[in-house]
Amino acid sequence: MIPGFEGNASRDLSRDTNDDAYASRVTVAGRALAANLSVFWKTARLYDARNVAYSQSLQNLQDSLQQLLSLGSDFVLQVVGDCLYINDQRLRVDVVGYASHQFIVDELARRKVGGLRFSGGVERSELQAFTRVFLGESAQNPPDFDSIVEQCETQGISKIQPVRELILPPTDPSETETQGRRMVAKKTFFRAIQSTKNVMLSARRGKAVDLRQAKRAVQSIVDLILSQELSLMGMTTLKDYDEYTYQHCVNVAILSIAVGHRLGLTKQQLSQLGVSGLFHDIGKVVIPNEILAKPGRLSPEEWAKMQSHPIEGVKIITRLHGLSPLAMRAIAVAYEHHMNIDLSGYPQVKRPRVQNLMSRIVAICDCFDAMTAHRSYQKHPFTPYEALHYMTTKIPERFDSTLLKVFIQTVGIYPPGTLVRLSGGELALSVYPNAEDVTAPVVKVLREASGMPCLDGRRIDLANQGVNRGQQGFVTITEAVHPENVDVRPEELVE
Amino acid sequence: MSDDRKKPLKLPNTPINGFGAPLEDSSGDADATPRAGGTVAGTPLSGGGGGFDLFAEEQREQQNLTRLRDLMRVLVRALKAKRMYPANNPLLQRILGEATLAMTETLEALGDINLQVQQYDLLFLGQSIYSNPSKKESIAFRFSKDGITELVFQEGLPPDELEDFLTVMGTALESSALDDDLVTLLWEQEFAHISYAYLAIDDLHESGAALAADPSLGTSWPEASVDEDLSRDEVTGVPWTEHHGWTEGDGGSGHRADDWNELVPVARVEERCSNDFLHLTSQEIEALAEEIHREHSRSLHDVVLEILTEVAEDEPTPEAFADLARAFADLLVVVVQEADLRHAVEIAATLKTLSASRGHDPTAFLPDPRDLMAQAVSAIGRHPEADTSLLPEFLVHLGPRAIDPVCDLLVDVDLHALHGALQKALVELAKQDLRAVCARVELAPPHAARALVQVLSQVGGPDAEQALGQATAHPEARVRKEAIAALAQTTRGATRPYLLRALDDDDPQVRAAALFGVRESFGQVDENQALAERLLAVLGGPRFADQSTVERGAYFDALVALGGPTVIATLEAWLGLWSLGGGSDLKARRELAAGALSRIDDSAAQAALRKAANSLIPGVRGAGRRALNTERAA
Repeated sequence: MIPGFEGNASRDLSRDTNDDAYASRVTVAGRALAANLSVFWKTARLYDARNVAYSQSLQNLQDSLQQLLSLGSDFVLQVVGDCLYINDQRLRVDVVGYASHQFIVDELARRKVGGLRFSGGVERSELQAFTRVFLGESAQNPPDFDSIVEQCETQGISKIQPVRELILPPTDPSETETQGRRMVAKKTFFRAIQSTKNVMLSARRGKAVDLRQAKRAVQSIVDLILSQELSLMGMTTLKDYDEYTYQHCVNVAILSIAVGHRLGLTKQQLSQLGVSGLFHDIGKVVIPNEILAKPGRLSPEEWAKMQSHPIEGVKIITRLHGLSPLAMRAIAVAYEHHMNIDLSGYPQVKRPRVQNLMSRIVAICDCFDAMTAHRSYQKHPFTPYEALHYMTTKIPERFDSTLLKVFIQTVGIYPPGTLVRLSGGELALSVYPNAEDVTAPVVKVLREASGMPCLDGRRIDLANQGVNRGQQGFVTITEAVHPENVDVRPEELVE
Repeated sequence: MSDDRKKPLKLPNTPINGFGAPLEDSSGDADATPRAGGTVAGTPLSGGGGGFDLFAEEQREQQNLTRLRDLMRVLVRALKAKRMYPANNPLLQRILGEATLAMTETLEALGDINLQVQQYDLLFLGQSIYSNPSKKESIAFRFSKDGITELVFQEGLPPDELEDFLTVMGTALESSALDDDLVTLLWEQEFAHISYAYLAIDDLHESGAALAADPSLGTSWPEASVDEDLSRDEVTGVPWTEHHGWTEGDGGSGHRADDWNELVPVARVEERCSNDFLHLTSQEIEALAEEIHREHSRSLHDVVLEILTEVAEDEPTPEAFADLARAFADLLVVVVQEADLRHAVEIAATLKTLSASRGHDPTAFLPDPRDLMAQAVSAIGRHPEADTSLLPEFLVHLGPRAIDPVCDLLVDVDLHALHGALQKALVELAKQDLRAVCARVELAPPHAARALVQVLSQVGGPDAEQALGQATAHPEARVRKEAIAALAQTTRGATRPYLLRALDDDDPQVRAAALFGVRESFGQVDENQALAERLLAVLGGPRFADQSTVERGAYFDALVALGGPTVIATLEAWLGLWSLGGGSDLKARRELAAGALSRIDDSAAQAALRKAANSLIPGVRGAGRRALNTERAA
């Protein structure tokens, strides 16, 4: 139970929270509720009750409410920090639902409302009345919690009740700022995934592709990386099985931009590099899913099909919107990213050529992210540390060795997501690299030396500890730890 | 105004209807510190003073609004001019100068200009300073459509930046809605004195929600479920879910790392990464810098052409090949727009070769030649460094469809500098479709028709000569002369009738050209005899008096070329003619006859001259002697 949560409302649901199937149903229904609530609030601001869009979105909201209510009696949709909960069950954000999730969080926060309690038997008319009260007269001056409660009482709205905002202990201003930056990074990350998904699905269906979203997403990534915001690098640690393909593309874009920034590329070049990274695997939209996600070894025919994706990528990009400089860069990267610096990769070319700089950067980032990703066939992927080790020792001939060094300097020798043992015996997670010292990332302590969970969630910037190396209290990394050895899934620890 | 204003403000998750977080440091600022006692949303703010001060402030506010409305008018005018005229147009320069001046003065007077964007209006402190309900024309609508909610022009805005801003606006109004929008375009410019706040696209269109709501989209690229049967290694039969990676000693079964490795052992790494990979040497840094520099200067056109060629060569399906061919065409347009004629030639040639190898019409995939050439000419104008010597080769690659557009360009006197290249191209193109060129001769204005006649003369061959023959009837004398001159170059008898007919042309220059031709191209003996008699009749008749010195010379030159007893006898007769007081025509004819006789390689002609040189008549004697002296000197 989350401290400060509305315990009485969760009485019926909480008893079953150990039941995975039940939790899964709550998650699905909760996500649907968040999506429909968000759409209805937006629609209600635009249209009156006679409008078809209004009544349709209201119906959808009511349906999803009924679905949740049918799982128990009452429930509370509540915000804690940046997360939405149904009672005490956190709704994990997925790419599709991120926008509506964030919208709900923002709208509740603007009104200083901590959540909404829904009781069985809530009617359409009550939903409409509550929405009118909640939205208020002006978007610029939304009503606050007390005003909403008062209005609800006046209008006899009883089956939907606002819950007071949780008063969290005061935080360090710098921590608040850090959280704000992380929030922006998270938003940027999810927007990028969504836009990648939109582009790829449109391309797959032969529909017109809206590149603006992707460009905007990449521009935001560039802005964040240029402002030395490293939270975004930490986001690449997220390895969501369900959204692997899109997330991989975004990860490659982020890592490539970070490398490009280190190389001193201009802002526009970084943007081109990022978009190229985003679309480097666009050719995979024509590769059958059976091959893409096949568990186990691919047959020669399947492997040959897989190897066609760079060429398919070229074909798709050429069909987009003419050949802008951006499209030309993307074509080069899509075609060359598996070619290898020694041209030993694929596709095989008939004429001698030199792999472009951006293709070489993307190749390294692509390989690294692919090797560290969880896939249906790759339950125990390389740890980031292992991946780097493999790339530098087993297959270095594939990559530009100088750029590989730059990559390591960018992500650090313990890239985000790497579990490490500290000199004091603590188990920690590398959160993001340090520009000054590749061996000393910012880490988050997970377990104390005793093996007990770390309760204060402290972070240590190993490059800036306030004590000098060699002095007492100076913390170093003694080893990289394999997650299986300590039963930890790093991808689930990213904030 | 906060410092944040200097960076584009990205507002979180705020839909276009205004429902959501307020523009924290925009509306807030405007509300908190209205300049010059401004109004917000039409609500007068209390000035806090007496009625007179309030009145003065209102007056000042009205003046400010008037000034801003004038500024917007000037900016809109500049935007229109920028879209209409080329960069070096004097009118555009003047209008841009006015816009810069207006902006500078307004910024000096009011400080930063903070505009709120509404669907069709731009507001300053809540008052509309620009309004246009046309979705096509309204700049406010364009801002609002792309999610820009606020726009700030800051003091110190330099003219270049304002002009670039107008360029961005122009590009946005013309570009595909799916390629770019104002936000992406403004971002690329990195303006130092223009900032903006904007909404995310999914807040504008809810596209994400729509996509999510489409079940077919949501499942179109699913991850495969981990089926128990499928999850076994085909070779070992070991369930993949039970693999724990390769460890030294057991050989392991390994994993595929996506598209990087068909099968790769997952090695547990106990040792540290090599320190070699932690430090860049100075040589590596230098090499990297060099590499980056090289990358900047490397032509993307080369890279993409190589890739498209590689892919197209191996493309088995006609549909996909057609798509790739269209990509070649797109690339061609790109390089032409940059006046990169070297690549234009290369691309067109490659596409033709690839198409031909598959039995396609080599020019079927090329863009419309008229559009392409218009772009090429425009680009060459913008790029004086362009190598126009490659223009003919490029145009020839476009095939016969290019003939009409090339002919049209020949008409344009402003492109005089390119006419040589255009003619050169037409010579080759005419070999592919002569009729198309011939058909243009009659229709073209004189200067272009002459150029086409010159082209036909270089093409040669019976068909071209026939076309030239037709051109000898062109209403314009200069064209006829050019056609006759061209026909005169040929040695074929078939062209002779045109030359003979032209001897009766109204224009002396045409006649002179025809005479030059006939003297160069001998016909049959009888025909030459008839021609000589015809020329002698003209020279001996009244028309001689009307002839210019040049024409007379041409006639006598022709007689020299024809020669023969009749000619010599007649010339001898004209040499011996005299009269008291003598007319000038008589003298002129005598001198010319003497000169002609001196050049006829015939003993009879020499005898006639010697006889004249001994004549008792001074004029005849003098003419004969001068001619003999000239001959000896020669």
